[in-house]
Amino acid sequence: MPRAADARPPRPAPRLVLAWLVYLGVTVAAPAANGAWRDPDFAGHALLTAGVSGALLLVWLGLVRLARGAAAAGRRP
Amino acid sequence: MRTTWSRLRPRLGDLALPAAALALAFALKLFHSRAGFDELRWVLDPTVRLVEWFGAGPFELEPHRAWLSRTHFFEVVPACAGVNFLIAAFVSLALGLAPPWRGWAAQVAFLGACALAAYATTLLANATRIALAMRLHELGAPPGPVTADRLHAVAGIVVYAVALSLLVAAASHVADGRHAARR
Repeated sequence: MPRAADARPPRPAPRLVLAWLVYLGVTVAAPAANGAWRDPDFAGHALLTAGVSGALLLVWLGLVRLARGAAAAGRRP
Repeated sequence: MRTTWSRLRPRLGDLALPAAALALAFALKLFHSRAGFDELRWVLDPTVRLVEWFGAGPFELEPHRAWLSRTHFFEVVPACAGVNFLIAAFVSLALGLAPPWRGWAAQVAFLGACALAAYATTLLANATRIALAMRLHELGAPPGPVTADRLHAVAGIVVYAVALSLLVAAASHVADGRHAARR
C-alpha cells in the first residue's frame, strides 16, 4: 500500500530555498569570511543581494502556491 | 563482514555525492579567486559570443585583459565571468536533486549533468545580465538617489535570482518526472 508521502508530488519550495541559501552563501557569506566585511560598501552589497533575491524568492514561492492551488481546484470534481 | 559493507556502501554513497559536489565547488571558488582573464576564457568567450548574438556587440579581444566593446565603451573583465553563479547553480542542483544511491557511475553521471546544466545556465544568465548592463550603461545614470552602479547591481541580482529559480524549477520537474516514472 503506498504511503501518503509517496502519493503526494514532491514540493519544490525546499529546493528553491536551498538554492537561495547557496546563492547567498557564495555571494555574501564566502566573501565576508575572506575579509570583505571590512570593506565599507560590503554591508550595502550584502543587504541589496539578500533583500532583492529574498523578495524575488517570496514572489516565486507565492506564484508556485497559486499555481498549485489552481491545479488542485481544477482536479476537484 | 560483507553484509555490513553492502549495507554501509549505499549510505556512504549518499554522503559521497554532496561531499564531492561541495569539494568541486570549493576547488572552483579557489581557482576563481586566483584566476586571471586567460584562465577564465572558457566562460568569458562563449558569454561574449552570446552577448553579441543578443545584438550588443561587437567585442574586440584585449589580450590577457578583457573583451572590449568600443561602440558601447564597455569592458567584460574577469569579474564579469559569473563563476559565483556557476558555483551556486551547480551546488543547488547537486544538493537539491541528489538521487538515491544507484552506484558510482550513476552518481558521477549525475554530477556531470549538474555541471553541464549549471554551465549552460551561467552562460545564458550572464550574457543576459551583461547585455542588460550595456543597455543601462547607454541610458546613463537615472535621476534620483539610485546610482548607476546600484542599478547595475540590482539588475544583476534579479537576472541571477530568476535564472537560478528557473533552473531549479525545470530540473526539479525533470527529476521528479523520472522519479515518478521509476515508481
